[in-house]
Amino acid sequence: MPSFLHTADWQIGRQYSQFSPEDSSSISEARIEAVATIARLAAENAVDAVLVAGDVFDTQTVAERTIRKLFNAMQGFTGPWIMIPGNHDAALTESVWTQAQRLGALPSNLHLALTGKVIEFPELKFAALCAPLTQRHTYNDLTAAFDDWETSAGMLRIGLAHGSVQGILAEEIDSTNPIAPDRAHTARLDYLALGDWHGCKQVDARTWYSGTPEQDRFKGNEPGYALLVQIDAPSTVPAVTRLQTGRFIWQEWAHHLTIASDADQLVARLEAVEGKDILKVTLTGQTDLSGQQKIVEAINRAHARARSLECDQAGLRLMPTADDIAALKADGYLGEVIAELRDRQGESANPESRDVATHALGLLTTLLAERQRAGAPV
Amino acid sequence: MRLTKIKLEHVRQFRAPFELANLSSGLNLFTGPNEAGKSTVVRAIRAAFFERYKTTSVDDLLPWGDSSATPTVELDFEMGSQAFHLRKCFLNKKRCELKAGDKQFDGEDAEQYLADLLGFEFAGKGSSKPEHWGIPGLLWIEQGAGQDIADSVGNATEHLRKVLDQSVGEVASTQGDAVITKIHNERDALLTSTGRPRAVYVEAITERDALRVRVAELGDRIATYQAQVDQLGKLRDEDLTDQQTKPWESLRAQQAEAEQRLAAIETLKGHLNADELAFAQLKDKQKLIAEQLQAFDAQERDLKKRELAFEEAQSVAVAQKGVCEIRDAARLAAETEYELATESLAISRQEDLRADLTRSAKQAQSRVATLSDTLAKAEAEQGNLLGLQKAIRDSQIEKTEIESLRDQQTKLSEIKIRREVAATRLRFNLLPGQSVALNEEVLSGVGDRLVSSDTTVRIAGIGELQITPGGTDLAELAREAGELFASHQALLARIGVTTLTEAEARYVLNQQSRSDLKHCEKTLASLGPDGMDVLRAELDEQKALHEDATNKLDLLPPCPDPPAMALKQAVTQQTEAKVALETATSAAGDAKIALATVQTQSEGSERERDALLGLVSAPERKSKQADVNQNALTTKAERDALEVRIQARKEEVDAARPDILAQDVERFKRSGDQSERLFRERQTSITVLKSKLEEAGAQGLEENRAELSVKLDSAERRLAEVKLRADALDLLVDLLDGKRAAMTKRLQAPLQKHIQRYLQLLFPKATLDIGEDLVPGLLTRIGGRGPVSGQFAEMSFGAREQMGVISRLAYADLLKEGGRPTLIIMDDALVHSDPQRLQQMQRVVFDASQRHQILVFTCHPENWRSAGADPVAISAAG
Repeated sequence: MPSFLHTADWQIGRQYSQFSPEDSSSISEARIEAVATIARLAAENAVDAVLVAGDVFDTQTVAERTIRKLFNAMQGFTGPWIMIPGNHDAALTESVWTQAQRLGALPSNLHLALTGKVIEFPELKFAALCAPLTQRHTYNDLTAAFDDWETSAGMLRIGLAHGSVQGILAEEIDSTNPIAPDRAHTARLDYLALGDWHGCKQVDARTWYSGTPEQDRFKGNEPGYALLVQIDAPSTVPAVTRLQTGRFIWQEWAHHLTIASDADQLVARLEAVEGKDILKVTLTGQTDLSGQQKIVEAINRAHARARSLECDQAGLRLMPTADDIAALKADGYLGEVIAELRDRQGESANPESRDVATHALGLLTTLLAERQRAGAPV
Repeated sequence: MRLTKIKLEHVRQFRAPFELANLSSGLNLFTGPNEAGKSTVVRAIRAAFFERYKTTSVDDLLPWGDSSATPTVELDFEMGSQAFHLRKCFLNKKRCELKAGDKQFDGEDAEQYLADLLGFEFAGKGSSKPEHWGIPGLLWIEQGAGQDIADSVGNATEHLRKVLDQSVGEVASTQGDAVITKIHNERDALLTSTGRPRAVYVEAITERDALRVRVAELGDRIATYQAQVDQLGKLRDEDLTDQQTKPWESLRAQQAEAEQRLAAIETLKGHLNADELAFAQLKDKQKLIAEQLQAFDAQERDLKKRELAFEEAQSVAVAQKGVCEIRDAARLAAETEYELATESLAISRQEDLRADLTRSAKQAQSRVATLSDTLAKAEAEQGNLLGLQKAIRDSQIEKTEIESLRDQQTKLSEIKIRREVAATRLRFNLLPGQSVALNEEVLSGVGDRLVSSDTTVRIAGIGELQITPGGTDLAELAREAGELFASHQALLARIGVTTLTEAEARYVLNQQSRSDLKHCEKTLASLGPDGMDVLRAELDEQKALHEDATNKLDLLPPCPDPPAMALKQAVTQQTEAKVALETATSAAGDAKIALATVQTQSEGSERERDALLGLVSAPERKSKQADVNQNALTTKAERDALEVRIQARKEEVDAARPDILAQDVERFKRSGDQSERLFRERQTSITVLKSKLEEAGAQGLEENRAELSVKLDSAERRLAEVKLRADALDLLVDLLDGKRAAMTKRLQAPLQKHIQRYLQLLFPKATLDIGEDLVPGLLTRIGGRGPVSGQFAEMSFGAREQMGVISRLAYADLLKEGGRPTLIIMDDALVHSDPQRLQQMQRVVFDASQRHQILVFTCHPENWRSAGADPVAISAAG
């Protein structure tokens, strides 16, 4: 019984500017590694073919090195790979595909449909009906032609398309390309492999979005899978299994601190951060000096462990207690300045000046603390 | 603090140990003339505290000429209840010992103890400088430095603050200054003094901006690339369409069809052209015929014209003849007039000449007379001249000659006298009728003779007596006389005279003649400057002139009657007549010429008329005219017919619109060419564009931009961090500085109070502002017209000295309140103050001395008489 591995939206060449350059680089690299993972899974599960439903590349003008790396990563599976261009890597008259062709980087087991066509695999007993995107913006349903395309008898009809199923996906969608929700039925498809939606999602019994194999944004919707599709015989319902391919977990935390134990809670949570975490933390509220100290240290520790950790503390106000101030030996006008800065955090109308006040307060208290530790002369 | 004893040894002029003891706890006055050692004492005290004992830069302490000495200073002082003893030795034996109560310090420990105690520092290297002197630098006023308070205060500020901090207590901050400094440093690392970004901050900005530029640049290139990709797609589609439809083929077909139709029309047009040509020819022929007819008519008209012309010419000729006659007559009259005028002129000329000649003759005559007269005179003079010349020649005698003669004569006389003197006198007295002979002379009667030479006297009948006079001289004299006589005679003979008298007379005559000659020559010259001959010639000339004129006069005809008119008038008359004659002659001439012309014209007219008459009357003419008329009619008919045919053909051609057809041909041709050309060009564009895109595609533009965006965002975040830090540091600086300034202001209050108290003693009701840097600023006094303000720095030297002393005393009071040691030293500190101010200052200083020990060194003890202290004299001898 033929089986396939269905994947899509690799977005190779994408960079993540919200992270530091090193983190961004690693995260981008991970996407190619996901392809290698897919190849490995395809080989391990001995599938007949890998279906890649568009957006292989994130842009048209990808560097040569990246192109080659990608196709190299596919070496793990020597069976056929069937690919269609999506909206990011549409098959324009000049595209990343023509570039790859010129470079001779396309492997021989790659079946690339740059125009809408049927590719038959007689030995494997299936035909791939391909609806690649050939324009920068497509407004019509390219899968409509599937209804009229004939395939040889006895072959499974497997559709590959990239777009948004009408009426199903209410939220943000990547492309304008519409797809009729009953296409699998009207085109008598045994399976319709879709791309464009980055989360793994079932549309109907025969129609699935595989989602992107490696998560690429903080919003969830369950990415990080490839789909193992097993079809017993033509016209039977396919059995679809999710295989984990994603390595990193993207999380967003928002903590509002009010009392001391809030800070402790945050610290405990940070201690659990591991190497597969891509974490964005937003802190608001207030803390005293010792709390701030603890948080800063915990963040630094977690930052060293995580794949990436960004912490936005702009909204966190520093409220030193009287003990804090005394401990710093901030007497006389130093103490007055600390008090004034503390108050400014709440009073200023302008959020920017509040931030400046907080930062100033942090600098001053840190300096005083250092002097205490160093036993500076009074 | 109170100094009790000062001891110097081997310091400058103090070779022997010098001591000042029993110093009072208030004002101590030290006096002495210049060079007595006052400043040395001050220097010694300063060196003992400020200079490190090991320093080598205190050579000035050495006694003069003794570089092996060890300058030593010992000071005893009290602070509170503790007694201190300091001993420092410099240069050759370096030592430093301090006893503080019962504690003992040596070397650098001692020095540091003192520095902390008094509030000053040591120099790291080299000699101690003002910036190290701290509080003592402020209170120990050096010579000539009293008015300079800003620097001393500046150098003491930190120490002052420390003191004041402690005295003011909690308001200040224990680590305030250190923290402020640190924060300032942190801030200055990011911001300039004017608040502009620098160093890391400005680098972050630059980096971010650079990345922005690059990202934008890449954005542009990507946009271009994408546009070009779209363009390529479009071109390829167009190319495909063209290849399928080949639009130029249909265009060319249309072109061919249009050409065919056009050709047909062209033929038709050809026929039409031929007809039109023929039509034109007929038109020309008609024109010719018309011309011919016209020519006939013209001839007849012409004949009539000529008839008229001839008649006119004739009448003109007749008129002109009349004119000629009149003018001839006029000319004759003018001629007669002219002749008369010429005659009259000739006579006038003649009379004019007569008058002229008469005048000439008279003139010549008178000149002759004058000249003859002059000539006669001249000739007479000439005769005179010749006579005189002869006389001169005759009486020629040189001056030298006459002088010689005179000389000789004189000499002869002299000799004679001598001879006579030397001579022998012979007196005789003879009887009458008796005689003797003396030489040859016969003597008789009575007489005497001088005998100067051998003489013989003959007496008849007796014999001879020979007398030889004695004396050798006589002979000599006689000889001499003889010689002289001879030459005298010779000269006389040469000259041609016999005696000197003659010679004299001659000489006089000669001289007179010479002068007469000169006179004569002068006279001659005046008569005839150019000479006699010229005179004679002139005379002859005048004579001739006279003769000539007279002759001419004789030749003239007799005087006319009536008398002639004036020559000028006659000339004018004649000229006018001439002009009139000329005018008349020319007029007559003109008239004649005109007549000839007119006559010729008339004849010409006649001839013309006759010729044309002949032509017109010829018989062949009539028949020719008839022929021509006939021609005209036929030609017209032909033309009309052709016109109709042409019109018809034209309509046919126009209907076919050949112009539009031609345009069509052109249009289709061009379109076809264009279409094909476009197709080829597009293919070239496609190739070019394709290779461009391949090249651009290979550059990974979007991936690069994505990478750069990562960097850019990172740079933005970093910049934001740096900015936040800079802003925070700026805020801290503002707040901290503000607080500290406020604190300082509070500290200024007590200082203000102390200064005010002293100020009242000098300027009642005045106020002095103290700046933040604790330096005196604005002084406000009550002047004659109300408050007057002036900055401390702008006051006079004397005033600043006084203010300088007052300020320092105020600081001292403040320090004392803070429990710090205050010793005040004034080394000639009020040298520029006037007597009245000095009085006031003495009050001030006395008041201060109630609280502080003050050492005053001065060479003007009289200025401190009422200060309440006994002066101690300083001298090296004691």
